[in-house]
Amino acid sequence: MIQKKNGYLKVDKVDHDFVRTQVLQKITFSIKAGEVCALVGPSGCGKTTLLHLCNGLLDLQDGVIQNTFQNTASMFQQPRLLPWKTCLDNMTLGLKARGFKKQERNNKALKLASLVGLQLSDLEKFPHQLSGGMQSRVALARVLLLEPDLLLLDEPFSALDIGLKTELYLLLLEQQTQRNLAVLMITHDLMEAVRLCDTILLMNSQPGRIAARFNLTRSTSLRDDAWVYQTTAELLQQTVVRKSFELPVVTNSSPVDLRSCEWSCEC
Amino acid sequence: MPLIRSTFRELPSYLWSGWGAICSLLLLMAAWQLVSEHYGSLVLAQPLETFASFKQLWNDQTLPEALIITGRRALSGLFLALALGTGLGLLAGVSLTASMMSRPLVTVLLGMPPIAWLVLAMLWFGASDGTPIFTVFVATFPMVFIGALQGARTVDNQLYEMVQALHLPKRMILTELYLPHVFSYLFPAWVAALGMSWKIVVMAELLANQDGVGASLAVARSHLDSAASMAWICAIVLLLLGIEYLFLEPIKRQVERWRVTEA
Repeated sequence: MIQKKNGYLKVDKVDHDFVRTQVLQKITFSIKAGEVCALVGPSGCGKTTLLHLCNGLLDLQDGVIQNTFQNTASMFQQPRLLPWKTCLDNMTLGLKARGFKKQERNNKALKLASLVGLQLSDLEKFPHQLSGGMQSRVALARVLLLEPDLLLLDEPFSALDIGLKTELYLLLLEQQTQRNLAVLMITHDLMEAVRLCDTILLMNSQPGRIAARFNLTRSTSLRDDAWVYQTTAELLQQTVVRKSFELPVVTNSSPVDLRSCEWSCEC
Repeated sequence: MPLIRSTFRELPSYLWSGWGAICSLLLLMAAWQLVSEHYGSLVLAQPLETFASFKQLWNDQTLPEALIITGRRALSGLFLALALGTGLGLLAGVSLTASMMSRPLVTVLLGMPPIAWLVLAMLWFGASDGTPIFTVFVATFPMVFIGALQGARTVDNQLYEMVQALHLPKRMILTELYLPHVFSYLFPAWVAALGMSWKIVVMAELLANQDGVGASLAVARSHLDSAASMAWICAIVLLLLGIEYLFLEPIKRQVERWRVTEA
């Protein structure tokens, strides 16, 4: 059921202030269907604000955001499940809002549950009875059930251990390629971005602005650990990256061989 | 409806778990027997004398009639407090100004001893039904009000963002987010108010009325009838225990199932 989707998200010269502090300055970028893009930057550089502008949780003050995707869904830093509802009811909340009948909702949810690694017995439980990882799976299923064509992710798995995090991201990427999803994700883990994304937007803080854009040319399915480590190391040698994360500038030459260069940079 | 069904399904195992409670109550009874043997029946009637007196009061209809009168008064005051307290509390919770203004007022109401209200009520309502009803109302109202106020004020902003991002319609935000959250604050307040109302109404009747359980207790005391006094006290406590463990506790277990953490 892969459809041809021509949606895009265009962010053009977006500024945003909280009272008198400028949080975002002249942010411009765009995402097409099927593209995975990461927003990388130090804490407090306005990544979450930018994402909230994209999904309409904050009102746009200045600039233009054009979203022609039909179906945008968001995941937050925490699972944010309703504590008084069972996992099944939490998963299907978005479908309920769209007017699906209970039977239909539950059928869809049951089909997806095994895909995201949820057992039938988990679905009857309340969120507090599940581990953090399981709660994140429920939150992921809640979003995937909506069959979105644009996903906005605000570090949804940041509280999980590295193995679980990788597993859930791979799950997500599988869905992404199958459904030609566009994904805009926030992370402050550069390696995660290198593993998963086609484009990395590096942000500076105070005020938040885009300092550089890295296009990774190797296809995500061909990225093994060695390539990810190598590329992350290469990116971390870039002055613009070091400046953004306030790392000390490198003075002596690196012992790592920096020759693969399967990426390009626009500052 | 599924709530009622699952309540009934779990009733047998719940009742079975009552043996422990019965054991400790029997131990209390044994202690009572010891004390009354030591001090004599005039000071504290023996359990068996008390039960005989209880049976007699029950058979000549005094006890059931008094319980009905008292129950009617307690429930009238309680329902007034539940309705007004819930309504006003929610309204106050919605507006920041109103909640800031009402908080000190409610603290004053909560801090005021019920016996002080009773004195005022006796001046205003005399020996009529109004005295116990008003006292119950005024003592339980602030508890319900605070519960509703906090429920309305503390809706989780993160969850609110989540339901917005899922594009829940306004009506669903109310039924899926606000009402369950508010109810989780309201229900414990309602239960506490019910327990409170029963104690207050007996106190009010004892001082102000000619009929009802409290008044009968006063009469038994003035006759120095220790057995009858204990019988009336037993009736009050038994009814409260019955309401608490046969009615409220099973409901509470079902309603708050999502809250229970596995120990």
